[in-house]
Amino acid sequence: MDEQILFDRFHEALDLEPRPGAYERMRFAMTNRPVALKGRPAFRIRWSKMGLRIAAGVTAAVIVIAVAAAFIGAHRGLVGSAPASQDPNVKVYRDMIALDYNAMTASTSHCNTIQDTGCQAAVNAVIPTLQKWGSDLSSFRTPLRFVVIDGQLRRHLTQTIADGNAAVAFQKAGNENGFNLAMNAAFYERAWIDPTMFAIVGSYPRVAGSYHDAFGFTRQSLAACVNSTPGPADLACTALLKRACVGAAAQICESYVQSADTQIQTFLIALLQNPAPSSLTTKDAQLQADLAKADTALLATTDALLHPDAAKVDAGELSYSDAISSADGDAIAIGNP
Amino acid sequence: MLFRQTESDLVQSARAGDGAAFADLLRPEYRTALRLACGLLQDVDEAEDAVQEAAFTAWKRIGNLREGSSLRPWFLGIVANQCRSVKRSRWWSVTKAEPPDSEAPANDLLASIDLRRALRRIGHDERLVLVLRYYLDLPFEEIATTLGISPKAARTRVERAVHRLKPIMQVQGAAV
Repeated sequence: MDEQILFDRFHEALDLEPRPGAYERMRFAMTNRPVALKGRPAFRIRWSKMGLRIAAGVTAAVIVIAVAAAFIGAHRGLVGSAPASQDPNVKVYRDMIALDYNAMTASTSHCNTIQDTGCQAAVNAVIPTLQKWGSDLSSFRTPLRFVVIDGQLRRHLTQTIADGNAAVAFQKAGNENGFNLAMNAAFYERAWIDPTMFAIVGSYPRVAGSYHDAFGFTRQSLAACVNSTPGPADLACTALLKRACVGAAAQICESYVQSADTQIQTFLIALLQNPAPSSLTTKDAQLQADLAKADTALLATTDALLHPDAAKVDAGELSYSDAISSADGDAIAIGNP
Repeated sequence: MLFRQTESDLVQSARAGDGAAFADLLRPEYRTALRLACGLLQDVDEAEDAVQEAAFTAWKRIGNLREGSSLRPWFLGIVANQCRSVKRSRWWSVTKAEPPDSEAPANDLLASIDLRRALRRIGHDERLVLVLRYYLDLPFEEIATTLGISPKAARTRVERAVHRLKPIMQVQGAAV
């Protein structure tokens, strides 16, 4: 059998790229699940004195450079958005995002169980970094290409703060179910933020080869959701609209919400990575706006699950359904690019 | 990333118990590992879970990774073993889902090239060498390191596995 044919056939049959957040979910699990290492003390980093000095020096230099870049970026642009192509602010924007992301990851602490005494401190440490990130994004003149994902990133940063505060409140109240729900939400937000950040800075693997592919995948999933038929990605339309989300069912609903949100994120990243041809720019912008509405509705649903507020959960799910229907209409309007 | 550590720093930190450091070490291998798991399991969710479990296993055994040896084949070997465990645990459902050969019309097999289906019908070890070779595009030397065998033995295993595909997979225009 011709070897080249085998290579081609295997790639045709099996080719796929990791879904957004897959690696980050693994990394998050590894960061938060202790393992017993043979013959080594757990969770202890060893540095030589010289290594520490060098690392401290390099880190300080990097921080100074990055802060200067972010400062210049934040003061060069006005609030609002700038045209996408050849925008000189894109690099500054990306640098600012990388810097804020690193500040967030540097503050990560441990809060895994309701017995964990470090939760309050962990939340107190990470919230200022999230607030600063949100503030930096708000005051930046966002490059046009990133406006939609930027808006959603801000909403997810806000939700992460809400999740963290809710977890601490539940811990103080001794409400374990509430605590777990809030921590799951916070963990999920982290898993949403990571791929989004990498997609914006341009280091995330491509999830579609072209606009045609990115759009086709999105359209099929939306149509499947609206028509209750099998599709390539489950947007949980049926599961979310037919399920009561009170009490113990809240965690199940939360997982459906997160599953759906991961798919919406996939579409947004795929469309970000593969800009629409100029003839479809307006229609594509509408599609992305409606996908963003769906994402926002899922965030509202998550927030309502945490409080808990059944009426707001229902309202969030209905908003999600409306946004998906609108996005499906947008996809039909785009047709076959 | 602004604060990226060197590989040796990451290994050192991972050996000291830093999970994030080990995950960072695995980042360049994640895509390949996931593709291997998908090729073996043909289910993205199970593949993600298998890679994550393999990562934990690898982390626990990081003391076994020799100084100067490459991380990738070592980790891929662990992923392959994890996938074998997953396949065993779901064996009943797989055999139930797969119709016996006699139920599939012969002309159906001849007419359509269904490599995924063909792969499900051969053993784990055969599927593994085929995925390593033709999907991950690994040279025989790296396949050999992953499997802990010689490059010559790796080549022989690949050839045998291709031979096993013959009755199942029909490649248009190719000498089968």
